Amino acid sequence: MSTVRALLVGALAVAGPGVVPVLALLGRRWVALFAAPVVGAVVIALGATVTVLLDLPLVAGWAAVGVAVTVGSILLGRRLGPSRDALRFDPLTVLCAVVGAGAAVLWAGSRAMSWDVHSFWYSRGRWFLVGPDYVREQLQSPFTSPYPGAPHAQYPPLPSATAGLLWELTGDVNYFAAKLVLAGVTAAALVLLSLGVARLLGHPRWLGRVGALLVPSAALYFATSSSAQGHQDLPYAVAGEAALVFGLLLPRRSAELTLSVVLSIMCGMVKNEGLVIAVLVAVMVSVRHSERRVTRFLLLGVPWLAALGSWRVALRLVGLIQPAPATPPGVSQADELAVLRPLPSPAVSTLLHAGAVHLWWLAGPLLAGLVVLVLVRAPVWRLPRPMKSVLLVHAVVAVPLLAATGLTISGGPGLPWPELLARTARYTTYPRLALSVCLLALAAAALRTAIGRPDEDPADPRPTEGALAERGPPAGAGVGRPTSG
Amino acid sequence: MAVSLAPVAVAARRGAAITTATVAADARSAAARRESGWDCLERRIAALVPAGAQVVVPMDQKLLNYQRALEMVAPHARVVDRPDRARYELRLVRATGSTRCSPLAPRVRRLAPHEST
Repeated sequence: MSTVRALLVGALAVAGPGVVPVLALLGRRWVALFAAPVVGAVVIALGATVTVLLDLPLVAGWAAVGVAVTVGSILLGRRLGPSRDALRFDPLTVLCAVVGAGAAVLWAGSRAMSWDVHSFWYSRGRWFLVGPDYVREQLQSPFTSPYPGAPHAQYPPLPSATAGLLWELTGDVNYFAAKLVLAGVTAAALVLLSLGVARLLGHPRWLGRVGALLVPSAALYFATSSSAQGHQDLPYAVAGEAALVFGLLLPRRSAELTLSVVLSIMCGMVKNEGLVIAVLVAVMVSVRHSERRVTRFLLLGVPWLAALGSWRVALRLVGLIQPAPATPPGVSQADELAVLRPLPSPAVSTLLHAGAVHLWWLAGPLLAGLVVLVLVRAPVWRLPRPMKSVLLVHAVVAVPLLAATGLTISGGPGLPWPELLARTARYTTYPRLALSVCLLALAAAALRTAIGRPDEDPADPRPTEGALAERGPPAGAGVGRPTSG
Repeated sequence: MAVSLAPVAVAARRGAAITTATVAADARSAAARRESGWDCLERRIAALVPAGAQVVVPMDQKLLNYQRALEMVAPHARVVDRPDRARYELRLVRATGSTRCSPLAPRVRRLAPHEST
């Protein structure tokens, strides 16, 4: 089958199951167009979980989850009713987001694919072609990872299952088509993030549009050029940040909540790092939307966390999670890398250069943020409430993730220092993306302070007095009243 | 405000440079446009290992990703975990000649009867 036909089948398989749920929960909005592939990818990941748990073929698990999600969303949509004022975006902002996201995934046209990508994501997709018993057999493989923690074979299933489903439906193992389909899901998440950031920045609108245009390419830089080889750091970080923005920083409404739930599950189903972000976001969003009522918190939080943890729970239930065996004797990973991928000499200048290139984005933006705070003469404790929320929720998610990453690295795969530093860029993808969103929010706050509207809260859908004055009287106001003059 | 926007703009410019470099590199290489290095490597292995043959992957290459790739680049063969169940041994080594296909080359050895009983 040609790549174009495979791509069409993949697009239908990924976006198709998401159409009815997003129409039921979000209505006919621009945002629904980009939410559908994300919902569809989550359906595939949950279908892979069902495959492992119930010993079903991937297509059967995918169909079962798709039907369940469709029926559930229709029932939920009827209960919640139509949300008329939620998530409307002007076409120019949508265009900026689409152009920004499109530019950030142009690499998908390249067939190049790294070793890790081939072995972790794409090769695992082939297990599903053989059958569920083979998937289980391979997940139990004695070839364990030299890294601490779960073996790579047990990474969350979204990228592998998406490729596997595509190949099962087309009957042809086509790496390029799989790369294009996964790039499409990434692009959809990028558009959603851009729209969320644009809404977060609020006024002035031009700043939101600039943000929507810049954020996708900045995210690609933070995920490093390995994304162009098919690595999955870009989608997990983007989905996690978008889930945070929609769930915690934008108005507390059902449409924003729906997007936050779907994006966080995508984040947790792509990589283990994403699971840390997704769980923290799920807990905080559930607390925010429960309005301090335990029953509401449980009704929202428990199914959400269950979906996030389903892959690990499924592996545990079928006995696939076992204590890691002792490292077998033989050459180390560092030796392997030295043979296969010669690295520059670990001279001091090399280390400094690699550190400066990759870590400036953790120190530089923090300094820039402090400079802005000094310029607007606002100490942190006197910042407007929306700005405090932006900084606080990002810190709550990014700091534990950085700590977990540091612990994992210190456990040590035994890599040479240049290699570790080179990889550091990818290890800090999410914190750097979070910092950039904080900086954009700071810029918006500084600009609003300069024009005299410092307290505008994007999480509050009620318009400010300034905005009302700008819009003029609402339609119908003044009808029946005597006019002077 | 410009202080806040500048780092984001710089990051976006570097991200755009990644895209541009990838597209340019792809345009330069006709081989890359036709197939990925993995398609090429799989064809070479398929030519060396008969369909359905039982193959062992030596454990001295302990990296999981290498093992996984070795298993899956020969999907038509059956990878087993012990030499006494296998007819062939498969390794990936650094390619010594042209690396246009892949920097790695498959090396297949038919096991002697006393090795595969």
